[in-house]
Amino acid sequence: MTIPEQPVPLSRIYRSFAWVGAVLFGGGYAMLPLLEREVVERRRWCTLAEMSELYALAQVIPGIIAVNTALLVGHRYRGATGAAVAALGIISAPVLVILAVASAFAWVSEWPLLARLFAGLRPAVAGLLLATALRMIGRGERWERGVAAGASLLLLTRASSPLGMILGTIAAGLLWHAWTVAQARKGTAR
Amino acid sequence: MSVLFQLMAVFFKIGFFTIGGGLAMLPLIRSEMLAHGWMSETEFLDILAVSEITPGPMAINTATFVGFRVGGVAGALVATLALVLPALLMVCLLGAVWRRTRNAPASVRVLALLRPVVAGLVLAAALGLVAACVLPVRIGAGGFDTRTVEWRALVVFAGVGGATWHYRINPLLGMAGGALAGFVLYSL
Repeated sequence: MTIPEQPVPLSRIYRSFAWVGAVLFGGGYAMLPLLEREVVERRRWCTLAEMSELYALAQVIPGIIAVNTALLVGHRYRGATGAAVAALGIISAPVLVILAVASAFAWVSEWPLLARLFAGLRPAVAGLLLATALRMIGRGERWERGVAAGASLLLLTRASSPLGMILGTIAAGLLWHAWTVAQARKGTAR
Repeated sequence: MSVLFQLMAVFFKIGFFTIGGGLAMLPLIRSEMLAHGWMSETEFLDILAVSEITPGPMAINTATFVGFRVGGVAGALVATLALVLPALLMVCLLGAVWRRTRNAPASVRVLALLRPVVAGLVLAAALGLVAACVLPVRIGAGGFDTRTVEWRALVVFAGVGGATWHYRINPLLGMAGGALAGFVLYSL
């Protein structure tokens, strides 16, 4: 993975993830367009492909996928401290907003304007996410596009859960490796 | 046992044992809240609704809110940090191993397969989200579920998606524009 030549300052990690946490609406996947913008395009800490590696790892670790992704990116650049700082960053805004809302809950829950604002937010997030997905797929080779299409078909038909699919892929990759090693051994034995 | 310590134990446990993301945590949080008698079912549902429309991962929002209800500001902080702590420990453990094995031939092959699969996963999530917004399930005549085209959501989705795809607009701008357009369209 491309590590920036200058060590990434902790304050920069904190601010980047605080921004992501403040504007994140939806599940862990909704974070990807934001990460693509902040971590890949603005900070150039990693490429889109490297980001999807960390995102895959984030799913097999217990916990919240968005937080795990932040932890992994932080850890990648500044070790344990970086991980902790990234996690604190991503939870900062949500915690503050919830504390504010919790203090004034009766008022907020009866605010009909909010529902109408959120009605447009969901399809907007869907549009952002679809663009990110198409960019991820568009950069791949032909066989990779086929695998991506097959994987999404399996998920859309609920034949597999995301976690099951990632664990299955890891197993398949390890089998592929074992097979290649066995083939190479056979070759040298002859 | 003080309430803060109980909150810490409950949320550490949930953070440690949930694989598959924050949404999988919500039923666990619910059953713990009810089992401890910390809140009623309706209260928890109200908290879920707020957690969904505030920024940030939903499980974090729920943990903060629930922690606040049970133990004030200290409770909110304890619950949220306890929820994240297992993952932090895990990443530090795994990260050190990962750094050493990242370029091993086995890892390279796993990652080569994993990348397109993740792309497919994101595509499926995006399409699922599009379907949920644009073709919401409604209970139709005779109690059958019907799907109707929600044209206002379709307009926002197509506008933001197209602008992002063609002009690489800032996602924040896309979300703000979408919220605003939705607000106008749903006010008509």
